[in-house]
Amino acid sequence: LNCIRVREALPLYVGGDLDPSLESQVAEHLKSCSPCFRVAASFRAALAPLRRLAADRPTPEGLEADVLAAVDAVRRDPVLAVALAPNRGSRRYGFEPAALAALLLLGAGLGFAFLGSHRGAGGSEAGARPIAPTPAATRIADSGRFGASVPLRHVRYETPRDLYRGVPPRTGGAVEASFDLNDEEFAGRVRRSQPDAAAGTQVQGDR
Amino acid sequence: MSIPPLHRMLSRQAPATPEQVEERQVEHDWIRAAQRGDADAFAELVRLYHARAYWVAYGLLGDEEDSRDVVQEAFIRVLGALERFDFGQSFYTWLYRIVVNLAIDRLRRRNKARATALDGIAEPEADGDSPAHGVESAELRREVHAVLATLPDKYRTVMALRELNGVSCKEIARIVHCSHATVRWRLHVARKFFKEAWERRERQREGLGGAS
Repeated sequence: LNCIRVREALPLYVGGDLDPSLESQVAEHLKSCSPCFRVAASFRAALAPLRRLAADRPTPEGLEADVLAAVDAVRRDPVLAVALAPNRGSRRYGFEPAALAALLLLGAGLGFAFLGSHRGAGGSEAGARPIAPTPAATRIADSGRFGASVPLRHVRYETPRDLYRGVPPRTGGAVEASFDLNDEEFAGRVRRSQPDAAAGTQVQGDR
Repeated sequence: MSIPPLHRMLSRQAPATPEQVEERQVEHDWIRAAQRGDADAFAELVRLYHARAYWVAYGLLGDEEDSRDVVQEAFIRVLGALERFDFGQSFYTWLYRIVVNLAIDRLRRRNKARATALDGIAEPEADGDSPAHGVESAELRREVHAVLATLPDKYRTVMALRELNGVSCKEIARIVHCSHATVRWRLHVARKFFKEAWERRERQREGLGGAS
């Protein structure tokens, strides 16, 4: 190996990511070539801080409890379960299209079943473009636990944690939803944070 | 308490030992139980992986609050999609993929917020570090993440996974959905970028130190 090839190989060599055969050739070269050895040493020195950080990763305090609480909140709350269900077939794990589809169908079905003509227009709109509901949506629809359809077209959760804690999203601009998850009685509030913060929609349901 | 030694299973040449096979079997049992609605089994998966997921997210985001959000959201996504878990792949590969995708989404939102800062939308401040991460390493962590933040997302991703979390190149390829050769190339470029940026930073610091 000449110096040019060795130096090309150094970024992977210093991390132990070269093929074993090439690795031994580079190691041999470095034993006898001080300029290349110095370049290798400078790579190691530059990457050393990363290695130090990799060795110092304490378990984040309280995170496990936070995750379990958020998961539990989602388990207990069918609206969240639908809204946060991953989008099938999406590599980006987006949930909004799936949630909207499910909620439109849910709204349509429940609207017809419980509210008669109150939500009739929304029902026919959803029926014109059938989209398969998620299993979670189907379970909710089958259980009939909600007495009103939920106009969640504009709802966007910034993070489940924001939702769980009921704090407004920090990044702003999105429509927020907050639920008092400590209440046995489910009473969610969906409102638009911008531009008309005053406009609100009450979402009601029972457990 | 520190995270147990990471990725024994991910060592690039090591074949699966009987212990690793058994660990995998136990993990699959938890996943099957969680699929049947066993909350304790899911909690066990959270217990096992939440810290690793956090440090993967932190490697990309360099922000404690954002990383915690991403981990929570990732586990909720896992919960919703657990029925479709493919037992042919590793749970951590799947989880890390979700974490990486969520973190990259968040980075893009951050970049958008930066781009539209003139419209008055405040950009979240990177906290760099907090006492939760240990005072000694706080400064170093802040500096490393400031340099990592200058790398394009795809290079930052491989650096975060390989350098900060010890994930093998093959495993990174599965996580980011690209070939092993591509990952190695990105790692090659990323280490060069990082070295140049880090050395530039060192020179600036020395220049400032000499000037004062």
